[in-house]
Amino acid sequence: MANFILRKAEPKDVSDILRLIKELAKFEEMEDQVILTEKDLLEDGFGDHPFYHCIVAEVPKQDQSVDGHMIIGFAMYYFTYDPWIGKLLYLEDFYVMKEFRGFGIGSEILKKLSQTAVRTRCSSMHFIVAEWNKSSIEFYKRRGASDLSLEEGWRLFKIDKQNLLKMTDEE
Amino acid sequence: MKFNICAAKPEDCKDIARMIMELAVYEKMPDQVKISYKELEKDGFGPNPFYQCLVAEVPEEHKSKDGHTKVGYALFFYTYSTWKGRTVYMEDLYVMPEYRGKGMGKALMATVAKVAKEQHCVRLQFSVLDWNKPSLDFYLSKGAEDLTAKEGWHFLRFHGIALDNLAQEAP
Repeated sequence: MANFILRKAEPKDVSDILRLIKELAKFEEMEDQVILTEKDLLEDGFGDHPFYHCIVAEVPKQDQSVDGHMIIGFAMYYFTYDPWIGKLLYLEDFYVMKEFRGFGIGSEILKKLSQTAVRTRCSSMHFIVAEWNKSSIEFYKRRGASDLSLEEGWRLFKIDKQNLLKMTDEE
Repeated sequence: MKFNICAAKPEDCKDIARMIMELAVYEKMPDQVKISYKELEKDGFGPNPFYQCLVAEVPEEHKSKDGHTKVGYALFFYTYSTWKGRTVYMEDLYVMPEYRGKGMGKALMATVAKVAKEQHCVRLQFSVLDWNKPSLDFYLSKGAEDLTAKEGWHFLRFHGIALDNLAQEAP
């Protein structure tokens, strides 16, 4: 089995995309943190101002998953900006269903993303990986990725809505 | 000291480029700055802006010893979390050393938070170098959480030749 296509996601794919987002979150042991809905994905990805771009991996009906799915992988990305080097492609999520791994689908997705990055004149493709996720880190490092947290000491921070509102009220 | 926070204009790009370099020097990575005010103008003020920028300005009578009235900036853009939806990523926050301690950093960040709130963003994310104690203390006092420490997230990237190689990789 190696029959698959990669294509741009369409509005009809949001249900599958959310399913795969939740599967990936479950793997990352954070399933309860997914509060996004199909409606959000539709509005935010296919409205007047898309906040993200998405590629999906699709297999023919005869190769569908045990649960009857034909969309078996996805990558969500958007463009960001580094004031030192300019435009970047940021890879937010990248996932292939377990039963479809080992067929080169992940590698093809990554290749397509990097081609998009080069075509749109991005200097770099950035993403984050959890440090315990050794298999993913190895996958990326084998392909030439560098770990900026280890090499340069960058740490990721967040400020949640409650504290954001507090900041706006204080001004 | 009186100051004003407002949206950057194309003519501010020279000042922004100057301060980007000052921040890079502080972060001990000045040789990594590859773009000039020209790219900033094109990428921030064209038909498809890749970033947004706020500038902190002081009146003429408080200009810096080098004659500058634009003394701080915050550069940010919209990103997307597959768990939470719309987020804002604050790429740079900087106030010139002689203007610190006057509330400008706090005001810049509060204005970014205000924009985030108006755009229905649920979270503000940014990164800080692990040795940068003054910044770490500032952000933690505002309710920021270190996701690298808490959840183990590391920043990775495919850059330059590594990106080109990935784009050309045979299936």
